[in-house]
Amino acid sequence: MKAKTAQTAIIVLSCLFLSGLAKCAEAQTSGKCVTIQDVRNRGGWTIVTQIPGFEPYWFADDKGNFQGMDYDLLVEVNKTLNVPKTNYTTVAWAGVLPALQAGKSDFTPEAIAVTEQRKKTFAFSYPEGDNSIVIMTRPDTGIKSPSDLVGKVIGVETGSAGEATAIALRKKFQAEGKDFKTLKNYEHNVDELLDLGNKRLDAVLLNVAPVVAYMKKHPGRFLNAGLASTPLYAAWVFRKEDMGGPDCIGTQVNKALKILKDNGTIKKLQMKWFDQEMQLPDYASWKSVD
Amino acid sequence: MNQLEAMFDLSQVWNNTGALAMGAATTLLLSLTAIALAAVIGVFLAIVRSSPLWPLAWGSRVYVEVIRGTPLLVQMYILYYGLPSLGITFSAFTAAALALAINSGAYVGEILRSAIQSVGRSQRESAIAVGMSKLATQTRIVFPQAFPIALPALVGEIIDIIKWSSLGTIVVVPEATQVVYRIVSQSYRGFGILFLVLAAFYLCVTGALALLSRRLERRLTRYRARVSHV
Repeated sequence: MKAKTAQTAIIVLSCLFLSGLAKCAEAQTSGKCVTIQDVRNRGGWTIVTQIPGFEPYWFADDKGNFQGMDYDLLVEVNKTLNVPKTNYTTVAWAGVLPALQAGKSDFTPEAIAVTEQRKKTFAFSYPEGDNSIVIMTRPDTGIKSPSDLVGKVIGVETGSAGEATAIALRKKFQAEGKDFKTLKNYEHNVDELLDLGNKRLDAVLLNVAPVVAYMKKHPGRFLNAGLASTPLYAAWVFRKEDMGGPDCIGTQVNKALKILKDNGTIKKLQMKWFDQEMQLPDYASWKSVD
Repeated sequence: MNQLEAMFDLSQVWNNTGALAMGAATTLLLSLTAIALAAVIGVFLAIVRSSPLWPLAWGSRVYVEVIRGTPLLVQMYILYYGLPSLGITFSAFTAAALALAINSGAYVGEILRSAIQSVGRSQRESAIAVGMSKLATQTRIVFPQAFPIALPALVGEIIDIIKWSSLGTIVVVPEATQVVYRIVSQSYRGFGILFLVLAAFYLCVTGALALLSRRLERRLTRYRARVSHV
C-alpha cells in the first residue's frame, strides 16, 4: 500500500516536472526575442553580471561604485538607445552565463573573450577591445613561451577562455607525446594568483586585461610571458534569438556600438582605461551569430 | 538549436564518461579518506571528553566548539590557501580531506559521547556487580548498546561528508562536482542534464548508505525485538 502511494507520487511529480519542461520548450522555440521597446517600457536593463574584479574592464572603486570600460560603454550605449538605466545584480562568474541562458539577464555587458566553444551557444556583440590569453608566471620558472609550459603545473579559472586555451594547448602537446605536469581548475582568478605566489603553480593562463592591471599594482612579483595562443576579442554576450530581428536587443546594441565606434567613443574609452588603442575587427564582416 | 535542447544535450554526458568516472572516483576516495580520519578523531574526542585529565577534556571541548562554530568552507580555505604563508603547503587533496575530517570529527565525537552516555547507569552498575572488569564493562556492555544508538547519526555524518566533499571544488580537487562544472562551463551546453546526473550520483551513493544503515540497525537491535515479543 505504502509502496503504491510512493509510486503514484513519483509518477505525478515526474509528470509535473516534464510538463513544466514542455511549457518552457514552447516558450523557447517560439523564437521571440526581447525587444528594445520591452526594455524601455520596464524602465531599463535587467543585468546579471560578474562580481567586480576584472580590472580595467569591470571592477569597483573603494566605495563599491562600478567602474571600468564595460560600465562606461554601457552608459554610452544607453544614451544612444534611449534606455533610462541599468539594474545590476552581481554573482560569481560561475553563474553569469547560465543566468543569461536562463533568461534572468537581458544580456551580459562584460568583456568576454570570443571563443569558438562559446559561439556554439551564445551570440557576441561587436567587439570592444582585446581579451587575449597570456601566460602569467613567476620570474624563477624560466617560462618564456607556450612551449615552455610542457611539464609545468598550470592553473586556470573554470569556464574561462584561459581554460579553453589550456585545453587546446594540451591537445597540441599530446599530439607530440608531451603534456603539462598538471592542469588545475580554480573558481576565482584571485585564488589562482595566490597559488602562483605559493609556488603550487608555475603559471596561470589569464586574460591580458587583469594581468596588466595586477602587474601595475604589484610590480616585480609576477611576469607576463606573452600570448598563450592567437589573440581573442572581447565582446558582450547575448542569447542567439536576441540577435534576430531589427528590434531585438542584440541587433540594437550592435547598432549603438557601430555608432560609438564611428564617432570615436570606443577609442576614447580604450585610451581612458588601457592608455592605448586596441585593434578592433571590421564590424561589417563580424558575425554575431555563427 | 533552442535553449532547452542545449540544456539537456545528452551527448555532453556520453562524450565525457571518462572524465565523469574519474570525478566520481575522486569523490569516493576523498570521502573515504575523510571518513576514516573523522572516525579516528571522533573516537579520540569521545574518549578524551570524559578524561580525568582536565587539560585534555577541556581541549576537546574547545576543539568541538571552534570547529562546529565555523563554516567548513572557511576551514578549507584556511587549510589550503592560508597555511602556505606559515610554510605548510598541503596538496589540494590532503587539504580537502583534512578539512572534511577535522570538521566531521567534531560531530562524530559528540555523537559517540552522547550515545555512550545514553546507556543507562544501571547497565554499568550491574556489570560491575556481576564481577566484570571496567574494560569488559565498556567493550561488552556499554559499546554494543551505544553503537546502534549512534548508528543513524553516524551514517548521517558519512552522508554529509560525501555531499560536502563537493566543496573540494574550491580548493582545486578534481572531484565530481568540479568535473561537471568544468564540462558545463566550456560551452554551457548540457548543464541541465549534467547537474541532474551529478545529483543522481550523490543520491545513489547516499541512498545506498541509508539503506545499508537501516539493515544494520535492525540487525544490531534484534535483541530488543526479541525482548518485546516475550
